[in-house]
Amino acid sequence: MSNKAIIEVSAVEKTVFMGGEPLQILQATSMAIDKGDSLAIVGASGSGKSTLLGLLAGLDLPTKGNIRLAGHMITDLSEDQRAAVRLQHVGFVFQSFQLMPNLTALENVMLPLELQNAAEIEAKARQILDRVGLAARLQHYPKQLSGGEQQRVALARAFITEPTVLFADEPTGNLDSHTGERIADLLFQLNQEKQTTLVLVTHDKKLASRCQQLITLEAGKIVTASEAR
Amino acid sequence: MKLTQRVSFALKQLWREWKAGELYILVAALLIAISSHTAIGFFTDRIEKAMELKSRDLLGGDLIIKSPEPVPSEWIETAEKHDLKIAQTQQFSSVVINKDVLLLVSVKSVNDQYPLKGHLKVTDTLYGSEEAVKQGPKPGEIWVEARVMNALQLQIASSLTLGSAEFKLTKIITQEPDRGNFYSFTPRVMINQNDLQKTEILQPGSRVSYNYLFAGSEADVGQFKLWLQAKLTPRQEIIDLQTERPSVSNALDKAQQYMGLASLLAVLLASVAIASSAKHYSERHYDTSAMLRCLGCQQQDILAIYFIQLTFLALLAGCIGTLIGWLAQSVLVFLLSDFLPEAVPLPGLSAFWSGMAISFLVLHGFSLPSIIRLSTMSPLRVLRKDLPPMSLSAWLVYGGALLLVVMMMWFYTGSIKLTLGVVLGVVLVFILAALLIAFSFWLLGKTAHLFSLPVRAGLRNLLRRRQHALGQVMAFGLTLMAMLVVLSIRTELLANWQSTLPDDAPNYFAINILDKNKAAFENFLSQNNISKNTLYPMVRGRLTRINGVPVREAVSKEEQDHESLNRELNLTAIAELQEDNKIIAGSWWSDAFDKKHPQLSIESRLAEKLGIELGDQLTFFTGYKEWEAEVQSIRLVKWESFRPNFYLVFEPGALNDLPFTYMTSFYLPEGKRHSLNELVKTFPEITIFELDALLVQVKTILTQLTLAVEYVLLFVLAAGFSVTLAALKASMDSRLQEGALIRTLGASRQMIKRSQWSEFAAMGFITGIIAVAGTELVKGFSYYFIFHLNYQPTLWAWVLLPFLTALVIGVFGPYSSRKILTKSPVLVLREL
Repeated sequence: MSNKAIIEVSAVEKTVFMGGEPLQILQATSMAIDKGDSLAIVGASGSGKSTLLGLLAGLDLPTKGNIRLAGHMITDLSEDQRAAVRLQHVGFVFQSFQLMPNLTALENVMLPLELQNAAEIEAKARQILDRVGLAARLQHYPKQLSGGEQQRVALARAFITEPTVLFADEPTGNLDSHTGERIADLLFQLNQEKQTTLVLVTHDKKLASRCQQLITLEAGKIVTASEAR
Repeated sequence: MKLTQRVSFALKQLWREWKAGELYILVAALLIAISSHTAIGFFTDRIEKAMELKSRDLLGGDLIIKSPEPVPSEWIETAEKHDLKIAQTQQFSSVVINKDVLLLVSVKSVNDQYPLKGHLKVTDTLYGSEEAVKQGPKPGEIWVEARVMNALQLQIASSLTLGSAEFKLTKIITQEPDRGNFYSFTPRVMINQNDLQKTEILQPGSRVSYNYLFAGSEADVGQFKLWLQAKLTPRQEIIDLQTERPSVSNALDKAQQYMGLASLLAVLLASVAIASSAKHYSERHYDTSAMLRCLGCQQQDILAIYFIQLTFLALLAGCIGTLIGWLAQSVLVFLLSDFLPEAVPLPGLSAFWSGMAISFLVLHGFSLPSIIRLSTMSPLRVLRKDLPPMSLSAWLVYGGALLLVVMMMWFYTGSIKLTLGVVLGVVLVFILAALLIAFSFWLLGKTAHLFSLPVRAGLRNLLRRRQHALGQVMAFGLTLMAMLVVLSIRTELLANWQSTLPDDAPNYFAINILDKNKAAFENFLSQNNISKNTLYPMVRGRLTRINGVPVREAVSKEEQDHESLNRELNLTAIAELQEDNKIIAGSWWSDAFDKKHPQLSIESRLAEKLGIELGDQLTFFTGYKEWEAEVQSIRLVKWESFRPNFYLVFEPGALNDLPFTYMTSFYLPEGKRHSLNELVKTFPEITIFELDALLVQVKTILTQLTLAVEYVLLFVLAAGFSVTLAALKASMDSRLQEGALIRTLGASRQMIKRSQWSEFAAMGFITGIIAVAGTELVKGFSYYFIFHLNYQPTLWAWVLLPFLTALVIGVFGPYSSRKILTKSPVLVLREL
């Protein structure tokens, strides 16, 4: 595996029990993602995309195998230790935005920095909201924003900590194609600016094609792995 | 996260939640609960203090020492060191003489400090208007009760001989604060203490009671009492509010129990509101918590953040809530100022602390389970929405909180019986409610097809949300039950008091009515339209032996000086049990009884004190002969009824061989007082004494109690209403979402309206059944075990209430969720 790899996955499997019966939702999977690269995971519904994303981000543990994320063997860590790794290295963007409904746009973006106890939180949040074009919507609550605007807030929240890796789960899935395209543009621009490694799960072939690597899952198994560009 | 970072993050988040309107219901529920709890606490504290003042007035001081000889001067010096005010009186029996006519009287000599508390009231003319005075008679003067005037044909300024001294009659006593046993038969005369020696009545060995009255701050009196207790000889006794409460104590006790019950229910209501709001809050925060975990918060951090938020909320709400409670009670006292004593003491701090404690207890106790669940939320929920939080032993946590609340209630009401009664009632109601609700749901499911489409849709909605509806029906049912219990006990208490003291409660007692004058006396009363009670034959006799053993040996050491052994008792014989008496052991006269001795019925407290049981043989000494009787029953007597009542009642005819006279009581309205003079002139041997002043005192206290009880009820009602509102609000989200979905699917507003109405009405109907069943259960228990009242189920409530609640909730529920119909479904769906 590459020395530059920020994520290394070796022989990872995931099995769950449904009604007492074991169900393998991810078969032995190995891969590596280099720092600054972008990877798209594609596949049909139920192919195991989100499961793989959750494992890579340390939100869940595999049944077998190891995952190293930003130098930490996260499969050996407890949930709280993995949380500490996430706090330091990881950002997220979700299909359903996952903004806190009771926080304004500004407060939502400030939140990760507050958790890191960083300095000049508000100024940084204003700056990045300005960067995503929402300078005029700082005090609005999520329900007062359109879908595209909400996802831009989510992007600002994800990039404000300048994470090593950004995980995006169907980032354009809830948006119309035009808005989705603009969000994708913004995502890749920020990715470049901040030198972030990007791992995204998507149905959208156009979006996937903008990534440097692409893997296709089928029934929990990688069927193709290729350089997209 | 470090602690400081946790605190700052938690408070920041809390402020944001508040700004977003997320906390309003929780805080409002908490505030209403705390303020109603503390308003009741502060108010009852003040009322209790006022009552206590009144009671001290009836006692004449804060603490009284009764001693057969003067107490050592060290005692008085110690009392002075404790800054206590001291008054002294001496009481003994003697005779007063006017123109060769003698009358046995109870003499009281008083010093210039007397009375310390309460009012000594006097008048210048017989049955004239009275005035309160601050001191007793001056040296050389004698004051007497009206019946002395009648018996000795006296005028103001008449001369009266007591022992070797001559006195000038200057006032007629109408009220004496520390009269104590107002049934005492010898009339009062009062002289100045400085004249005592002049009378030469008290000689070594004279039977006299030296009374020392003390007044001062509670702490000083308490310390003095503590010091004193070690010094008392068995013949001396301390009397204070704890040892002797005036005749209203029964009513006062019940009122206090009632207020205890009311505040206790306010706490229960609060718990229901808090639990429901907290659960709602936590459900809305599943995603937030998952996201926080995702962003790197550890489980400990989440727990700490919510805990800090709760603590801050509890502290803030506790302060504001008690402040509102304090204001509410001030307004209350202001509104009631006409009815309350002139100076109502300020409330103590205890209500503040209990308000704070309640705030922490209910908020933490009932929110923590939800909060703990939030902290266990898997971060994976951000990817998989359906992932529920880890369940934990809610029974354990809620059980713990409930246990704490119960202990707090116990501490607050001081009655384990009362607390357990309510808790038992609630637990039973829970079980009963769950069964009833399950049965009702089953029945609804079976019969739903019989209804029209909108009704059917409503009922199916209810059944689909079975779990949720069960919780809500429980909440409504409990709230309603709490209010019903408080309401019905209040009604019962008031009726009970009113029957105790009707407007025409007897205000005069007449004794010494001779057998030969009985008919003429009755005739006189009926001619003057004066209503009277039964005439009771009465013989005075001493109890000398119990089962052949002399009484002083037969009773326990502590009771050897019991007043009933030191004086002649009033004995009567009647055929029918008096209406304010209740047999608690044995039976009323039976013909089957082996009539070796006459049968007798003894009052329960006396029987308990003297250790007398059913079947015991009691020996009496009356005038010239000793005779025996056997205990056939033990009676509970309502002494506060102001009707003639007796410790010892014999079967009819038992006293025929003894010299007896009759006694009775009657009501004389203000305008007919003049007939008294005529009555006394016609029957000079009759002794009349007046209870008016005492009656007025007792009635004032009862009026205050009634008012207090009614206002306390208002607080409970307000708390109950708020809980209902909170419960309805909590289910709003899912209702809104469903309503919006149904509307987008093409349901008409009319159809939604009807289905909503049916859903709420069905819920209301079941609520009514639950409430009425629970109420009867708790009522039955508390009447039987606590208030000792007769319990009768309220049948009309069983029939009427379920329909009433169906109507109210059926109207109020859809009204509170009218947004479903008025707000655009698109907006609703986007916001949720």
